[in-house]
Amino acid sequence: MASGSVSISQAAISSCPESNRVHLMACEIEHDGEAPVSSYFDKTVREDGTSSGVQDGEKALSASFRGRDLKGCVVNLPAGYTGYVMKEDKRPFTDEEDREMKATHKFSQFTYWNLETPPSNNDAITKAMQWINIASALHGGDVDNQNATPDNIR
Amino acid sequence: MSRRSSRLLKLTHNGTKSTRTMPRNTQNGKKTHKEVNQWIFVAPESAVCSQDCGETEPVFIKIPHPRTGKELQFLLSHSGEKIFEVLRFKEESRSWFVDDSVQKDGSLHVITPVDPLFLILPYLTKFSQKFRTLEQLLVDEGHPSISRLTGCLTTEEILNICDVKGDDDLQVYRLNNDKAIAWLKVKVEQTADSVSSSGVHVSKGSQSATFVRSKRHTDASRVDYVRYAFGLVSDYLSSQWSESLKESLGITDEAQLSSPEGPPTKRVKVTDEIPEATEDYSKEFSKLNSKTENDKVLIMIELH
Repeated sequence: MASGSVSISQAAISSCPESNRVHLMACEIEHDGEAPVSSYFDKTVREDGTSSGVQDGEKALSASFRGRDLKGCVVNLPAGYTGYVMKEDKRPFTDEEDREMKATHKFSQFTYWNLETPPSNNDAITKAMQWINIASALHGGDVDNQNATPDNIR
Repeated sequence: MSRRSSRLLKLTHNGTKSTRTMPRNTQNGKKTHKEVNQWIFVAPESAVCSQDCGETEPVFIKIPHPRTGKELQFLLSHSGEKIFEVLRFKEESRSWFVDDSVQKDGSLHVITPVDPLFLILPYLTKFSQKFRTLEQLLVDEGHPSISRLTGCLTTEEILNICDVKGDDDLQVYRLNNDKAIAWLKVKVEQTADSVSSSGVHVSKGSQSATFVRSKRHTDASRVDYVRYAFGLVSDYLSSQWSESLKESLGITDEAQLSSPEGPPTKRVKVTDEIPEATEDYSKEFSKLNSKTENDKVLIMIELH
């Protein structure tokens, strides 16, 4: 392979643990690395008791972060898709170096948070999930197959 | 503390971005303290892992985008038989928590399959006068990785858009324009089916960049969905092919002006006319924030 390629470590993919504490936060946090999320954030997460407007069967959630109210919901990834946290331990010094991404966690769902407004189908994250279905229709192979409807491609 | 909180918690609702870049860590532009890069991917299992991959691993390769001809990162599966594209969804003011850690960059990288026929169509178009083997078609000094797509295509698939000669040992192909247009039309229909069943809003309201909208899907007709799907398919086509397809679908310009912001196709175009998205992501890290934040339109805005 040409130099400077980026590969995905298979060993890490098969060995990385599954995380059920993946949050897409409604703010930017000026930090990369460890943080006491379980003590300061996870503890504040509560079910609102109503249904979320994003996916059927998911409850609306609320939480608090730095004194602000957050409204959230669980987003389940489409069938066949998995989330991965990919990490490159060492930044390359040159463009020619081969590189490798290693999965540190995988996840099948994450929690999407908004400030104050409950997530809905109008949120960007819904569109990202819709794109997955549309892409499978647009790029689904066998176009001669008359049975290739979006439903069974998915 | 209070000043800091309010700044950090600022949320911009219309700040979503989607680009065709490879993952880049926003830290890189700053040459800061961080020695690691980290990204959040959502990918089909077949793209990133497999039980029986043996020695080979999935790898990102650079291939010219069929619309722009600019090189972008695509993910080649471990077997070398499937090719995927990477879309980056980014809203402003977002970060990730993963267990007890923070990732400042709130981007989500979505990896989805891409039909390799789109990627080889420019090469077939270029050599449309003669029959050639796939290996002869996919030779490009400037973009040597294109040759790796030979593993992603079966004769059956190529037959969708080409004429073929030869036997099992040596097959040569030549683009057949009529077949290509018929194939593209099926793509548009399939995509339109998917868009309509996904409840994606394609009529006037979809032109707005805001996300606050009622859930009315009633006023979209099949024509709207087809036009919308044409825009999505065109995103993988040269302007020449896009025009031919548009004509064959009977899409007219005047039918598209439902909004001052322009038809979906236009905005899809903006999506991949992204100079820095065409570059190797190991370079030019610093450009990411400065340009992508302002210049890009999200495919997801269109998918509304």
